[in-house]
Amino acid sequence: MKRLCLMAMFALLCISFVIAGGKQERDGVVELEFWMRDTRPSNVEAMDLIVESFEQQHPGIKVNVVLTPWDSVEQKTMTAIAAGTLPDLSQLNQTGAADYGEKGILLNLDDELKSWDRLNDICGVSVSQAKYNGEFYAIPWFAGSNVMFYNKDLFIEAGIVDADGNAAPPKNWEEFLADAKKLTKDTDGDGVVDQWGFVTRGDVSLTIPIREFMLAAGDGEWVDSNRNVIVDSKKNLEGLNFYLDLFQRYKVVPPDTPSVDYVGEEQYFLSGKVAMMFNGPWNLGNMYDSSVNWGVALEPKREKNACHIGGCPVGIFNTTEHPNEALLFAKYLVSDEAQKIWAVDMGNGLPVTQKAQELAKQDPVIKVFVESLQAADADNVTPPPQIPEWVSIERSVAPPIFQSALLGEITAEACLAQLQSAMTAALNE
Amino acid sequence: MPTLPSFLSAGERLYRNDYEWQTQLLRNELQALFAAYSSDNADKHSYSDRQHRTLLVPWMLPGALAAIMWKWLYHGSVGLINQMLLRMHIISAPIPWLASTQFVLISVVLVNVWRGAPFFMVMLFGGLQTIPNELYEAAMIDGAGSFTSFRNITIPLLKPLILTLSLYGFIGAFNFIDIILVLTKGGPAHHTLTLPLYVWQLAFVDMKISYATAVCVLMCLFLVVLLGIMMLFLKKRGGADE
Repeated sequence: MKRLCLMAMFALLCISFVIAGGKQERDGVVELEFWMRDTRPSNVEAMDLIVESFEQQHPGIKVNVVLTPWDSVEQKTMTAIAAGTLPDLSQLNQTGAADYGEKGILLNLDDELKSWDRLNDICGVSVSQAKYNGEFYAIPWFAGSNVMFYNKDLFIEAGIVDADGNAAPPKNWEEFLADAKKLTKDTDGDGVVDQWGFVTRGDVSLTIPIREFMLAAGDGEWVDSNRNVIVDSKKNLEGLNFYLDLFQRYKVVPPDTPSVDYVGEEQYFLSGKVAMMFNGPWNLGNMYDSSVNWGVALEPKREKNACHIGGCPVGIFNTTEHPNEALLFAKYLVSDEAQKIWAVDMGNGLPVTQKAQELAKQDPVIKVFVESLQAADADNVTPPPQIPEWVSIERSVAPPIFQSALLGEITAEACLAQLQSAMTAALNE
Repeated sequence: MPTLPSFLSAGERLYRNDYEWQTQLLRNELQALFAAYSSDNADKHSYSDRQHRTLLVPWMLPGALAAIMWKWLYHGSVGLINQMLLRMHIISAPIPWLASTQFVLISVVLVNVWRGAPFFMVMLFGGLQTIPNELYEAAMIDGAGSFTSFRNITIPLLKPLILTLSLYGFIGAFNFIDIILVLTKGGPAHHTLTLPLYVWQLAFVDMKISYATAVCVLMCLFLVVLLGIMMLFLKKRGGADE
C-alpha cells in the first residue's frame, strides 16, 4: 500500500512537471516566450509596460519575458538549440541576424517584412541590422549610437570656449587633437601628468573605438558584400594611426590605456580627470548620477560624421509554434507607442522610427544621440558587418593584433596586414 | 565530438606556444616559496590564532572578488600601489602594471600567489608540528645552525608533504583562469593568455565547442602524462630515501 502511494505521488509529480513545462495554450490564450538581453531595471520596467499594453490590445496572446543577460545568453542559446528549448523570439545582438541566420535557427521573414508599410519609417542602419544575405531574418527594434561626452568645467578651465564663454567641444580631428593636448596636464605640480584630454578603450574591447576612427577617416569597411576582407586599406590605416598616436605619440590618453575597459573608461571620465570620451546612451544613468558637469556633442569628424552604431533587432526562432503571434509582438515593439516607452520615456537606447526619433529630440541630450545616428546614416556610415563571424572577429581575432600595435610590438601597417590575413582565415574556416 | 583535424589544429596551436607557460610555472614556484617562508615564520614566531586567521583571508576570498580588488590596487594612475610607491619616491611616474608587457605577467602571478599561499602555509605548518623538537635539540647540541637544521631535518621530514603539495600546486597552476580572466582577459596582446583561458575563449567567445573540447582533451592527456612522470619520479626518490 505504502509503495502504491509513493508510486502514485511520483506519477502525479511527473504529470505536474509535464503540464508546467509544456508549450502553453490554455483557454485559447497563446503564450509566447521572449528572451530579453538588456536586464537593467529601466529595461525591465519598460518591457513590463510594453507587454501590458500589447496584451490589452491582443487578449489572445500572453508574453512571458525571460531575462537572459548578455554575458551568458550565447551559451544559453547554444544549449537551447541542442535541447530544442529555444523561445519563440529573442532580442539579438547587432549581428545576430547574420549569426543565427547562418545557423539556420531563425525564421526567414523576408516575405512578411518586404511588403510591411512601416519599413519606410525605420532608419536604414537599423533595417540593415535585421538582414542577412539581403533577406530579413529579424525585425529592427532599437538603435544606439556613440557620441562624445566632454567635461565642461575642464574645457572652460583650459580656455576652450565659444564667444559666450561656454565650453566648445571640437568638431574635427585637428581641433580634437589640439584640445586633447591642451587638456593633458599636471594639475598639482608634482611633475606627473594627472589629467588627460581623452580616454579610450585599449583592452580586448578596443575594436569598436578603433573602427570608429577608421569610419571617421572615410572607410571603416572590413568585409565587403561578397565576404572579401578589405580591412587593409589606406583610410583604415589613417584611422588606426590616429588612434595609436593618441597613446604612443601625443600621450593624451592615460598611460594604462592597454588595460582600460568599458568600466575603466567610464570611471576615468567620472573621476573628472579626463576631458573627453566616446560612449553610448547606455551610460546615461551613471552620467546623470555623477557630479561631473558634462555635455554631449557629435564625435569629431575627419572625412565622415562617424560613430559606432549599435542596436538590437528581434529574431523569431523557426522552432516556434506561434510564428504569427510572435511576429505580431515583434512588430508591436516597433510601434510608435512601444518605441516611445522603450526609448523616449525610459531611455533604453534610441528609437528607430522617424516619429519616435523626432519625439526623442525634445530631450537635449538624447537629441545629440539621434543627430549622431542621423548624421552617420546620412554619411553612409555602416554598423559592424552582418557576418556570422563578427563576434569572434571583434572579441578574439582583432584585439590581440591591435594590442600588439598599441604596445609598439608591430607597426600599424603590419597590424592591418596581420588582421587582413587573420580575418581571411576566420572567414574561410 | 572533436574531429581529427581539430585535434591536429589544437596540437599545432599548443606547439606554437600561443599562451604563457611561464605564467603557470612561475606561479607554482613563487607560491611554494612564499608558503614555505610564511609557514616557517609562523612556526618560529608562534603566530597567534588571530594572525593565522588573517593570513587565511586571501585563500577564503573567491578568485574573481580578489581579482577585482587587485585590479583597482594595480590601477595605472590612481591605484593604491602606484600612489604608495610615488609617495615613497620609489618611482617617479605611475607604472601601468596591467598594461605593460614588462609587468603584467608578474602582476597576475603575484595575485594568485597571494591568494593561494595560505593554503600551502597551513598544510606545511601542520607538517612542521609533527616534527619532534628533540631532533632540533639534538642537532643543536651537535653544533648545527638553523640553516643546517632546516636543510637536514625540516626539509627531509617534510619532503612527502612538499612533494604532494607540489603536485597539487602544479594542477592548480595548470588550471589558472579566474584571476586572469578578471584582471586582463589574457591581454594585452595575449601576454597573459593561459591554456584554460584559451579554451574558455574558444568555447564561449568563438563558440567553437568541438575545438575547445579537443584542446581540453589534449590538456588532460598532457597533464596525466606529466603527473604520471612526476609520480614515478617521486616514488623513486621516496624509495631511495628510505
